[in-house]
Amino acid sequence: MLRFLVRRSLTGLAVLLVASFLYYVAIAAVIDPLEDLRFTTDPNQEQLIAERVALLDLDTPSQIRYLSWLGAFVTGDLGSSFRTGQAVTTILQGAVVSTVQLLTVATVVAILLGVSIGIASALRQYTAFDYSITFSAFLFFSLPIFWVAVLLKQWGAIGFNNFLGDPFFGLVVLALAGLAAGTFWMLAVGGSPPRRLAVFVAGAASAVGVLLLLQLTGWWSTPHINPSLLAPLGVLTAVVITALSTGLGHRRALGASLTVVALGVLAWVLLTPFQLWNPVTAVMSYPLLVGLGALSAVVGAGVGYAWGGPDKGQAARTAAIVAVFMALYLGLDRMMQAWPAYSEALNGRPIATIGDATPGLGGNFWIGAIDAYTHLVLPTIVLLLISFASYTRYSRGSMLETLNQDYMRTARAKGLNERTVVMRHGFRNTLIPLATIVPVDIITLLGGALITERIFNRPGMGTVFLRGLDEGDIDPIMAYLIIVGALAIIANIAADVIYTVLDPRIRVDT
Amino acid sequence: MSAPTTSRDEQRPEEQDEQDLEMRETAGLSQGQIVRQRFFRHTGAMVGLVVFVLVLLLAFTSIGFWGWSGWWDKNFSSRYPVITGGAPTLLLPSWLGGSGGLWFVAGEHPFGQDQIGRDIFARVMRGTQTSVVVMIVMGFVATVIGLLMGALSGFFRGKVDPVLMRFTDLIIIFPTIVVGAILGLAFGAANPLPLALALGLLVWPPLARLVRGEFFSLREREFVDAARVAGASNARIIFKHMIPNAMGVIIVNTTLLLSQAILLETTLAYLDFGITEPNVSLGTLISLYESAFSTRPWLFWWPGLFIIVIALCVNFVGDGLRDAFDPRQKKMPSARKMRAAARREVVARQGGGGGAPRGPEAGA
Repeated sequence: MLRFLVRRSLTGLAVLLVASFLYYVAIAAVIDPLEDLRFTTDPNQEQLIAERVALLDLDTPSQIRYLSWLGAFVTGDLGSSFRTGQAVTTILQGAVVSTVQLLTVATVVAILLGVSIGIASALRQYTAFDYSITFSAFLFFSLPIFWVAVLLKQWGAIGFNNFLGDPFFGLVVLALAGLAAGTFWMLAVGGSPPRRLAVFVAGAASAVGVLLLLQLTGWWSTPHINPSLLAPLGVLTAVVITALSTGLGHRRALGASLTVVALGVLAWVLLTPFQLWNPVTAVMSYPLLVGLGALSAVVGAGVGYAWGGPDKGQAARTAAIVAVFMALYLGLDRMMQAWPAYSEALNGRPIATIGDATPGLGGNFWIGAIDAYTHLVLPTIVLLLISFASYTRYSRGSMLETLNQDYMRTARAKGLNERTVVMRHGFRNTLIPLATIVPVDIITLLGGALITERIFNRPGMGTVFLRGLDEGDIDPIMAYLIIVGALAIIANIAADVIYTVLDPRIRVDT
Repeated sequence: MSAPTTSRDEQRPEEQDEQDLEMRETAGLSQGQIVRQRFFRHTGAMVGLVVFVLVLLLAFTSIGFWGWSGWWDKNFSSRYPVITGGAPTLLLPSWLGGSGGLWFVAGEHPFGQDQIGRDIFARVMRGTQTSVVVMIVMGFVATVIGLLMGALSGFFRGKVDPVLMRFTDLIIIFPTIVVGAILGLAFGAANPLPLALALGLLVWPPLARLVRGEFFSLREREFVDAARVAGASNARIIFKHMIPNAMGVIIVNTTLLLSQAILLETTLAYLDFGITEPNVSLGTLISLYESAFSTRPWLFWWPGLFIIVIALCVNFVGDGLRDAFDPRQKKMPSARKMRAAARREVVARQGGGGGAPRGPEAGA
């Protein structure tokens, strides 16, 4: 394995080196740093041009300039933008954070949604559900993302802000939402006609009910997850997670998850009415947030072990997952508590279409977090469309492949129930080829981020690259290419390593 | 079905039927005929193909090409007097809830006009022509290069293979749009051909890799050995024996490449790295009219709609081709149709004395 890693990294570095040379020369030939000066009406035009030629050393052939760029690069000097005079490292600092934020949210949501829907589609192969999912995947593949982005920016944002200004669903909207939800669940669950009808009615009624409840309690203007929402939501999460993870027959796991939900509600009482949030908010940061999430997983696992039984591990695993969800709900609730103030500060039009943060907003961590998310909503939806489609297609294909394997038949033949067959034998093996797609997909998303960042004016890495191309500024372009290229190489190595780790039949020790 | 063998007796009757059906479906047909038949039965692919051809006909006959003026009396660059604020004059027929009477009424400017009175229908048609030309040239260039590179690399292996594969690495490590933007800066102009050729040089590596993989397995097959023993040259083996056998992979991926090609071209045009004035592509139209969205949304809807329709059709045709070339793929009737067919069969057996023809269902 070590030899493989070393060999691949060295080839990767070689490719990157050659690529950097070729692209440097090509870009130097393509861009025109003097463009603005050529059309200037300034009387001392020639002097300005001469100055810039001297500054950028344009009389030297680009091959030689590449060498000096490379010399500076290996010592950690990425050069600077001659337009703004800023060092490239300074420009990149904020840009990398902005892009990483965008990619993380989009990737996580796309994987969760895409994989679950893809697998559901595979389990219902050749049904109306499967066909409609396939059709939507094709539709998403065919959408020009710049068009969708502009549409969301010009139309979606305004519509959503208008809705938030006067949050009210008419009867028609409620009926349509109920119809859509009912149809979705009916097709996804399937079964005999009476069962379909029951699922349809339940799905439609719950969708309409939730929407009505949110509307009547004024949830849209003061969003929250207080115990009257937290408790049912928690119980639902606990039941669903237990059903997927161990099956509802595993009473100890179910008990452990429900205990965790109770603990979560208790935590809410301590945090909100007893104001334990105040000291936490003062020191809040993203690493701490992740740490708290991990802590809750540990607590959940502890509860699972305490419930004991012959298979403590399963109960602990289930309870830990539920605990993370509860922590997520608590965090969301705290963030939502800051919503009215945030909305107020932005004159009731909170969904942003430009940039990645409201300048000069101030406020505590939670206000900052809301601000980041309202700026992320629309670009993330755009990016989601591309990778959601590919994840659905891949997980569907992968699941179908797995379902046809002999060990699936064996699993059924020895009398395992459907949940165990699908989740333990099917799902796990489906994830193997999927795990290799994720690193590669992130590179595709970087390309998508280029377009989204341009349209939503997010100061990310794509913007740095495009502005560099527009302004004929080669150092930022090269920095972008090196980062993306290195990422791609690492991603490909990671994909191979993941594959070998997950699938022992594959070996890489060549 | 007379005198069934013992092994057949052990099978469930449905399974036996299924095998018979499969045999009947392909009996006496060549590979090409089977593929063609499966493709023509693929509803999605056929709809896609028909719509795509219609769009092409509309785009190329309406405003004409190469000096021919077509049947539409406006062109894409002239200004016309603005009618009704530039709103589309296309009326829907009354059975679609419109006010156009029995049929569509195009009016003076069916897709509307822009701020300075240019006819959007003509502009969108022109944009479609440009984008489709770029798409096809790109697809052609990429297929030829990808095929050659993949074939050489997969056939000769040895020293050629690593060199070619590292070469594709140079292109693959960056998102297509990034390299596309650099190429677009160099070749983006009113003339679509240089851009199309340059982008064609960019998008071939995935195809090359697939062809290479296919060749790896094909070169170990007996017919290649047989051809070599019979004295065939390397070129003859590659072109006469191996490429025809890899045709499925090639055709399917070329089609899917086409849908990416049109999205890439329009995206570059949107980012101002592609087709430029005075020519228009569907991407430049969207970029040009983006800011007018709130006042004249039709300027924005039509070009986007045409991109989606073209890409969607090509994707469906590609999907149909993939199914047609995949021997494991069977077109499955839905569960409901299967049950209905089973019921009909039972009725036929009880009433009509068995042996009712199952022909229609076989193809359903």
